Amino acid sequence: MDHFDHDQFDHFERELARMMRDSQETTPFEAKHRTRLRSGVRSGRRVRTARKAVGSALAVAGIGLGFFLLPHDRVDDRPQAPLPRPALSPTLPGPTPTLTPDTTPSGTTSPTPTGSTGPSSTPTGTPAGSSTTSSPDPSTTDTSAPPSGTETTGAPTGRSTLTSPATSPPATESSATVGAADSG
Amino acid sequence: MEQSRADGFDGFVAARWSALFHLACLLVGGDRHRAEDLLQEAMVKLWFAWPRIGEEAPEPYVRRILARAAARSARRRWWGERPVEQLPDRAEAGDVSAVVAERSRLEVALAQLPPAQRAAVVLRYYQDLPDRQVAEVLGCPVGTARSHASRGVARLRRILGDVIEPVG
Repeated sequence: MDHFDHDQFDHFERELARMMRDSQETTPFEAKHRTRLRSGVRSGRRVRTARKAVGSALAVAGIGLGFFLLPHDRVDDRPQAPLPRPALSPTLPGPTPTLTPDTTPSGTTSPTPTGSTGPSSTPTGTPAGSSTTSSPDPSTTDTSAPPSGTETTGAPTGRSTLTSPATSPPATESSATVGAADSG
Repeated sequence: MEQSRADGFDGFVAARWSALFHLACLLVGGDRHRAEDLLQEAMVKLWFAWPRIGEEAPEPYVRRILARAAARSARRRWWGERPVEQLPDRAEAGDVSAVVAERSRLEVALAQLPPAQRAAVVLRYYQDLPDRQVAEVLGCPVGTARSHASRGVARLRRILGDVIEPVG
């Protein structure tokens, strides 16, 4: 603790400091002081306990109120689910299949496992107008994919269709969902 | 744990009670009862803070509590004069010692200061604290603490001018 430098005090200030120090009288810490101090500590404990209890009760009440109000808010304010995209396969008025550029009439496509080669296998690259879905044929839709197969996942519907270019029948009969993922 | 806490606290209180009581007396302008109340409150607060500061600096903690409580006491409660039917005996020269007479004059003079000025004067001249620490203890800006102290001393000069004679 850095104390004040008494050299900068004038005479009055030095005398004032001396009077304050010299006027101290010895006051022992007596039993009555101890008793009073202990009663003060006890009452302080009670006050603190009561304060904690009130705080806990308020916290519980606040949490309960929050839980009570939360479901209503969820119903009103929760974000909407993605809007359903138009289902391409069943709702197209006339399934006029259009061959994708890399689909040969014989049904052989370039087997690339990354799924990024042609519009027929990339869900994001094809304009909506060129989306083509052939008539659903269970025999071709559920064909197990060879190692070279390309998996196309339709995002809105969550369906996954395996396209096996090498083994599938002509493209007009495959159930490839082409370019429909982000066409909306 | 609790026993060691109590032992340390009791030891500190027993050792420093007299000095802290004198500080409280100066801070309240000589009222013994009020000084004892103030010190008791400060000690109760110290008891609850003892685990944190007991090993470090309990006395500055008590000093801060005392000074702040004394400085703001006027805003909470009127501690001034109360009318009485019989005037109390006044200290007269001859029947009391010079020390007691001087103490009485000092306390009467301090009692005439506003609480904040009195606290600043006591902290600066009795506790030997610089302006920065006076401000820290009182919880106010340094300029405010310096202003309180200088105004308080100026007023004490007028009150105690006949007691403390100028040099020369």
